[in-house]
Amino acid sequence: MTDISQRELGVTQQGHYAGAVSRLVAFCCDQAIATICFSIATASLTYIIVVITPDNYQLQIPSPLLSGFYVFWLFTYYAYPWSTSGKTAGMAILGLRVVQRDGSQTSLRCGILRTIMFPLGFITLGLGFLGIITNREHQALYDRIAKTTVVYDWDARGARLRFLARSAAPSSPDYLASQAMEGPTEPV
Amino acid sequence: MVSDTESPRSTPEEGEGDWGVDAALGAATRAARAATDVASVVGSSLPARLAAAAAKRLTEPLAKEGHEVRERLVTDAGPAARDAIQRVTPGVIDAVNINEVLAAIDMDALLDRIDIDRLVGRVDVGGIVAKVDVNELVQGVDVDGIVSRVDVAAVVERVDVDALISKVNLDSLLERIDIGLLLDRIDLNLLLTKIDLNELLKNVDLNALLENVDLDALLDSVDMNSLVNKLDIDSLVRNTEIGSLIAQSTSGIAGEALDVVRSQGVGLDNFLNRWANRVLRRDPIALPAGPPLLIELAPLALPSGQSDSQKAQP
Repeated sequence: MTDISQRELGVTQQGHYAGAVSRLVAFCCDQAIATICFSIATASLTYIIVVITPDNYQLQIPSPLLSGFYVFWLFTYYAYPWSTSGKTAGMAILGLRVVQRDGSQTSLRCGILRTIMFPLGFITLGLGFLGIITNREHQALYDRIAKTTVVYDWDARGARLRFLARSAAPSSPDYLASQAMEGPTEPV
Repeated sequence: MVSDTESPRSTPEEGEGDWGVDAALGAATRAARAATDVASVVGSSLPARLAAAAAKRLTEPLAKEGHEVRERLVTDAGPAARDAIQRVTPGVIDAVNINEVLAAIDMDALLDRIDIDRLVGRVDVGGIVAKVDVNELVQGVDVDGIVSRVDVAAVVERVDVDALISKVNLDSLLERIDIGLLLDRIDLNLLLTKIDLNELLKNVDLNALLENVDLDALLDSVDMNSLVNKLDIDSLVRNTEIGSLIAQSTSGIAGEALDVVRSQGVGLDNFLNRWANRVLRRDPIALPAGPPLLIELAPLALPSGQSDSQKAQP
């Protein structure tokens, strides 16, 4: 499949069930963003404490506590967007959105339940993610529990227009004259 | 008036054999005239009047009897006179030259003596008209012949068109016209071929025309969604400056990179789905493309190609 045909295919998928690759990439982005943000936050907090405390006080945070903060941060990072807009930062980059099975917007219950059940995919050694490929509605285990699914939500129309505009030749007078001599172009 | 030369009276040469009778009649006439003169002189004297009165008294029985005879004579003479007239009339008619008689009549003088008004007043015009079969009369009229003799141009020149039109009640006239039937009989194509639209449009004040148009009401009646759906957006973007404008306004590297990443992701997703469907022996057409609410709204967001993409999946 050529690059152009992939783009043509992609911009026609808005509202369709998202596939495993996009969701995996989105998850990776989310994890990276969440981890980076958490690291920046802890580093900043440590720096502030060092600055404001006398005698070069060394802040020692216990690992369980730090892990607890990290898990809480991850829960907040995923649960809040999924409960409100349905998309995290990584999903926004990839143009994905979590919706309920009928396509309506997720509720607070759906968002929290999906976030809590999300680790089941890892706990089951990845079997919980197989539903994304095998299920008719591309639902992972946690999706089936929370009665949610993931769809493509990016601005397909705008992307298509941008793609057409970029693929169109420049509209200089010489080009237009040559186009007029060649005859009308085939519509997509 | 009969002239002397044309008189039917016999001239002396024609009545050569009757001269004796004529001479006797002439003598008797003169004698009677003389006796009358004498009688009138004598009769006017007193003795004559006394004698006449005495004679009237003495002859009264005779006069009564004579009166009865005269009346009987009038009664009995009628039929006899009619017989005589009937016998004589044909001969008289043959002898009379009608043309000569008519030529001798002074028609002007005769007509001057006739009271035309009185004559017309005695005519029953209504009765005459009632007896006339107008249809038969009209059928007998050669209308074409009459019309061919009429100088229509001269007639039209004498018509005061303005005065004529001012008397016409256009409202009443238009109410009686069946516009639909009239338009059915008009060949609009032929009419339009004869119209110079360019010349017509030159005379149209489009600004004044548009000022009278209620654009809000007009736009309210337009189904914009249906109109937009009929637009070939792809062709519009490709072949107009809109495409370059969109590219200029959204041609950021990040935006283009996002489009590329997303498009690549979708392509890989479809690749993986096709293989999964092959392994699981599923018909991709039978699978739901997405949640019902989003798939129903998808045509609004997607200009074209949805069915094509579905067909592209094996």
